[in-house]
Amino acid sequence: MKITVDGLTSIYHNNTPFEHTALNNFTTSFEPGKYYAVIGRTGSGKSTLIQHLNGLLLPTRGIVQVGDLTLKHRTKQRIIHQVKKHVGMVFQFPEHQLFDETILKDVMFGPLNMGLTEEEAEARAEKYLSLLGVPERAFGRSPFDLSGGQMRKIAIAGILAMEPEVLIVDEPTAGLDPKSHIEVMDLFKQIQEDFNITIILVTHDMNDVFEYADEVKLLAGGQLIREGRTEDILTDEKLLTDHHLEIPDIVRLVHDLERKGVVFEGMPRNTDAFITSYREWRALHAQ
Amino acid sequence: MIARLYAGYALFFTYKMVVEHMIKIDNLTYRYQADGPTALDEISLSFNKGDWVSVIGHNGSGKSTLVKILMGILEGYTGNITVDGEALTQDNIQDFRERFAIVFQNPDNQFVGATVEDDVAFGLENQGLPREVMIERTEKALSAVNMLAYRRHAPARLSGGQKQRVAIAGALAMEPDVLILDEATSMLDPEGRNDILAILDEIHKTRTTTLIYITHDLSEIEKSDYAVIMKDGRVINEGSIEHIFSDTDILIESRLVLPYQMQISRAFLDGRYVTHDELVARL
Ligand SMILES: Nc1ncnc2c1ncn2[C@@H]1O[C@H](COP(=O)(O)OP(=O)(O)OP(=O)(O)O)[C@@H](O)[C@H]1O
Ligand SMILES: Nc1ncnc2c1ncn2[C@@H]1O[C@H](COP(=O)(O)OP(=O)(O)OP(=O)(O)O)[C@@H](O)[C@H]1O
Ligand SMILES: [Mg+2]
Ligand SMILES: [Mg+2]
Repeated sequence: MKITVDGLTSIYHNNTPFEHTALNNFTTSFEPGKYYAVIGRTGSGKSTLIQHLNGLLLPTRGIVQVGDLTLKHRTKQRIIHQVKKHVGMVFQFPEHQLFDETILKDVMFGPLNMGLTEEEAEARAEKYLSLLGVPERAFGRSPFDLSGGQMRKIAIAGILAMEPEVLIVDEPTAGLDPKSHIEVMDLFKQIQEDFNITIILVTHDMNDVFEYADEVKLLAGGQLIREGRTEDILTDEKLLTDHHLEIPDIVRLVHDLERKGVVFEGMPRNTDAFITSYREWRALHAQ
Repeated sequence: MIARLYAGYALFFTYKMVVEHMIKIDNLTYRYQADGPTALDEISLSFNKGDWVSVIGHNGSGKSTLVKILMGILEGYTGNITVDGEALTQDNIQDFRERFAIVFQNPDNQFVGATVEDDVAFGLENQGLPREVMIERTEKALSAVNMLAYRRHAPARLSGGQKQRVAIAGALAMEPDVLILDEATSMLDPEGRNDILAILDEIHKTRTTTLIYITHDLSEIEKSDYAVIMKDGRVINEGSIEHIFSDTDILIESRLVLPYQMQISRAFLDGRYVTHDELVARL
């Protein structure tokens, strides 16, 4: 499912004294089956942009095209409901997404809402809860009686259980312990490959962007500054620094080693790949 | 060698004598439901006055529960807590609470004011400060986190990182004796995070405020004097940062991931903690 954003302007509290333009004449597109990262400093408009992609916010001006559904200034609730079936979103503060009395019911809600039977919805919920490492004995507990990181996993399971064609995740690993962080990121990648879905990741973690994303969209002040392949954008140290972003650890390490004469064939995308590359380089230069 | 050892001991004893415990926890056990599992299981810890203490551990290990008990938000624990030499009881907890400030994991759970500045000032209302001082402290805290320009905005209408900054300003303005940050930087961009760490550094230098810093980011704990690792409601390791990093098995057992420098050091060097620059020099 392709998403096209055309001339999108988004103004919060338009025509009031609190009027604030969060996105200004924004044009871009998201191709089916690709993994995108949306990056930019605090307040650059990332969360605002992605909320337009599933109809949570509607354009002040311009259009958002989701497959053959069009979102405009006054789009009807019926259309928005259709969009939400295809585009799943995990919010920046996922606690807001939880509401049911048990964990299991909470995760079943999305699939049921899409028209699945009770049994199908339960099977989906169990599948995704266990993929996220939530033990079966916890299914009957209230989603509110959990730690911050545990709540986030339930919110993620709730969206994955809908098996959306486009999965949008806003800072999905904030609050997860480092091991869960890796598990969740690997799970998204796995799902993207298995179901050939689109992923749109919003994050400040440039190591994750470098490791997982195919394409990057860089925002600043509500505008699209650059878009393109991850390997081009995240290795551009000046571009990143100019926009107050971090350089991925491995990029920094590889660039620093290059200055010492240690030059690899390609650019490793994570620490394990770096270790392999360096081992090969050493073997080659052992004599 | 003997002389050095002796000097070391002498220093150690002087240190012991001068340092006071700000918080002392003995055998603290807590259950959310009377018949439920223990969220905290016989925890004993002490935090020195003016220290920066990091608390790390897997999701659900009990970090937030621990600090909520210190804040008097959760009641019905067993064990003893002493604050500044005085035992914490139901009667005096309110007084202590005014000397403590916390930034919660989710800033939305914290906002009470209609505007950013009201919200920051709200925390000061119980302190009986003159109005000018309240205004001054509010402005100072908001500019420290770079949010003064947003003073008249509603907290709900801010981006995620902006909300976290305002929540931190609220705690800073209180100038507390104990400042607790529960994953308060999880959604900040690198600049925002560095700003906050620099502010904490300044506070730390004065040694008048005890900092309790909960995080999942191992690179953030470098600045602390002391770190505590929790697992399943228990403390499984504690000590200096060098000590914490020296036991990698415990780190891994607690669902932590070694920083990239250490992973690479383990593959090619001696496996010990190295900085980025040391790594570049030694590879
Ligand atoms: N509900 C709202 N009402 C008014 N202004 C808003 C609202 N939500 C966000 N804004 C403003 O719009 C701008 C963009 O916010 P947005 O939430 O899209 O940023 P972001 O890039 O997601 O930032 P962060 O990394 O901090 O989450 C910010 O200046 C913010 O203050
Ligand atoms: N309100 C509650 N009712 C019942 N159990 C709870 C409640 N809040 C937390 N728990 C449980 O208590 C344990 C400790 O939770 P706590 O919130 O202290 O963890 P944490 O270390 O802060 O985790 P995280 O890193 O995910 O924030 C967990 O097993 C959690 O499920
Ligand atoms: Mg955001
Ligand atoms: Mg917590």
